[in-house]
Amino acid sequence: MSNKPLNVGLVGGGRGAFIVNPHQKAIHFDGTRRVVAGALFPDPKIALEEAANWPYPIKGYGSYDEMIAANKTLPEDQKLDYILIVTPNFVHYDPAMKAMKAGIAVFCEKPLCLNLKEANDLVRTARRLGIPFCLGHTYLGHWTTRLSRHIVRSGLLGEVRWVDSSYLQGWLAARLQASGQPQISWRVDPKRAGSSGCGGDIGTHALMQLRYVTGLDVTDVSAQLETFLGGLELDDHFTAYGKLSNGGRALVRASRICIGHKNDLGLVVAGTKGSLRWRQEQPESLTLCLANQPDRIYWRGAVTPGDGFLPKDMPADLMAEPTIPSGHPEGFHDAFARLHRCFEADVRQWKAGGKYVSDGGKYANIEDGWMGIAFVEACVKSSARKGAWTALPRKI
Amino acid sequence: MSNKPLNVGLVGGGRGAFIVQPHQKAIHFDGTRRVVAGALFPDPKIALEEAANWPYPIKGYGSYDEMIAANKTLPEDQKLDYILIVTPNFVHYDPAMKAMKAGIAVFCEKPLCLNLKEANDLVKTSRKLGVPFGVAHTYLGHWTTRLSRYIVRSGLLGEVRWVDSSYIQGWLATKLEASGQQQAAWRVDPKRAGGSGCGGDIGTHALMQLRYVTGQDVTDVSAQLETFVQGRQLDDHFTIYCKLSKGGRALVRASQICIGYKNDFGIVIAGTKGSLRWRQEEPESLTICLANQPDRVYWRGAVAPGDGFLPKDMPADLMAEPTIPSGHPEGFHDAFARLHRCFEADVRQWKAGGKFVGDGSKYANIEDGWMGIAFIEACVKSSAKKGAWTALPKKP
Repeated sequence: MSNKPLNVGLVGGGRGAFIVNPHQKAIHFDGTRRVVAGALFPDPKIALEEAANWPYPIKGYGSYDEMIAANKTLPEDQKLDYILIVTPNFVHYDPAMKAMKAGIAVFCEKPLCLNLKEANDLVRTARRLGIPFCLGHTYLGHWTTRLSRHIVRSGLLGEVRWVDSSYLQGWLAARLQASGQPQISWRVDPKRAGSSGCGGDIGTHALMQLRYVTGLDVTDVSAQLETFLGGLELDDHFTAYGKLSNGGRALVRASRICIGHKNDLGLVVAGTKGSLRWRQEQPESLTLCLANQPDRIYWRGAVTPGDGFLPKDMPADLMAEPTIPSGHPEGFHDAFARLHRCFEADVRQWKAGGKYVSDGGKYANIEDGWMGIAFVEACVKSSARKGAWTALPRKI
Repeated sequence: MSNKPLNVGLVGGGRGAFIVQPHQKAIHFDGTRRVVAGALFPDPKIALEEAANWPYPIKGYGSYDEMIAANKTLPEDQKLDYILIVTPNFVHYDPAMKAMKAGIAVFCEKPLCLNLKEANDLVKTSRKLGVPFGVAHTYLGHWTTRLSRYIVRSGLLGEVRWVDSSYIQGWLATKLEASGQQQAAWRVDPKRAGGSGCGGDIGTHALMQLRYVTGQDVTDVSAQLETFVQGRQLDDHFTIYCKLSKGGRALVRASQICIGYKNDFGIVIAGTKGSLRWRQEEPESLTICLANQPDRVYWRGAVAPGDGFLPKDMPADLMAEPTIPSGHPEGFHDAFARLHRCFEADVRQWKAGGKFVGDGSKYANIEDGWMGIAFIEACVKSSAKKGAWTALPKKP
């Protein structure tokens, strides 16, 4: 197989946008992927200016329509292998749909789109066309998240009784949107963000972490969406009590008004045999608590199978994961890079005509994206009815 | 100025070497630098094989002599902008010297070389030719290290009385080198590692952190080098009591026999007004302790000037540092990337005919490298004389 780096095109990312930056670093991380093109801003003039001023040479396009159309006419080695969508939520559906129809794989920021109708369309199209599709649920890229998944799904904690998955921030505890800060204005606008603010933005991360680690779905919710800041249209504090598909219970929580909390995403899983604790702000370890035992702190890079808790036959791909030694911390960029690395493998297999995996084991796929939208819609409905129990829509 | 990425050539890195990996990621991190060539192994046949099997296309050379010689004949846009030396210590001097003489900037792993004679030569040549030269003291690349430097050097802790800088590992607590482990074998061999094992390998990091943060030099040492693992020729435990250039005292310590310690590198600074604590394994924050005050934990990305301890007029370049938001942890790769990013800026200025800085404030320079070698030589001498006070050699 060729070792030519994959070509990536950006949709969005201009004018000081944030999330494009960790993605760019993650794309370039291994030398096997590179950004070669971009439709960086809605205004074509600005889009081209931004591309001309990009820190390294890329081909600028005035719109993603142009970028996707031009791809057909490019020589094989210049064609895009995938696009990265890093626009606000209301500009996910259209470029994702058009790229898929043009035969280009898609890496899309979460949430997948604005509403369930869009999500249904996207899922059906992706299934029909069989195109790799990844959703940017960053925290699945931490090695400790993958170890958590193995521990819980292999039954080492017994049956899962209770999960508390929460993502707490404090950056919108006061009215910042009046300042015109670009990260903020679209996040508090229902037309551009969707029907939930805080829940759609970071509650979907909490849901995804729960689902990835436990393998369970949330089937029903009793939700309380609050807006503590006067004048906001969308929730800034989100608490959903959930029923799990195995009969367990869970909290899926998110907040932007907890002053001093930065990106405090954490997961607690309580099973019949023990508990697991994990925090994104210190992603290098997870803690296992067993009855009548000292807490066990497992560090990435320093895990030994057959230690009295972990079995001898740990999965080879988990243990072989290329990492830096323990004590040299991995962080946010490493998690992003792991997702892009795994997505690259699937894109290469797909382009070579082979069967690619994309089962959600290595990164969130489009079905996971659908589930995020379905969850948020059910929560919005439940909250509007004072927290009445509301079933999630059926999977399509 | 052109936004063409800088071209980097690797010296060493083949056959599963470790340190080349974080460097490669750091080089590619921003899209503005890329690895284009490599002399990856001493055996030319293996060097070319490794290059052919590299994960992305690079030009392979049988030796660094060939790579450096070929550079003259390459078209301007294919010439190397800098080389990265990631060979064992005894293969630092020769490629560094040859690259400088060929007008190629050098980024070299620490320690700079094997002994003071080599270090003197390198420093003199570098001064004469004015070529950018970075020494890879990774931990200067953490933003919190830079904040520490500002806090201490601006006098916020008063006069520095005491520093404890220590780098504690446990991976050589048994005779790992007997198993043929490649990372261990050369590190315990005086011909390939130099006059000190543990001290040269990681004690130099502890020294550099002390010097970078405080701005002081170690002038005299009373050293105790120990070899706890029988049959090992070099020290595996290294404890140095030091006099500082402004009259303070310090411990510079390193160990490879403390079981369970991973890369536990930390610095404690005690001044007349307060103390500072920092640890590499949790590099996102530092702690300031003032009398009759709660501890102040400063997180990267969440530092506000004029908070009652930090002044209002913090340095603009420190505060403007492009970073991800606090709570999304930076780690090892981010630190490496920050060094390469700063080195890139100097290389670009130098190539444009401008004056580059290279003053050791953004990455360790060749003078810092010299100081590491001088320190180790003094420590080895002192320890041989049962810890007799020994002055460091004079700078050339």
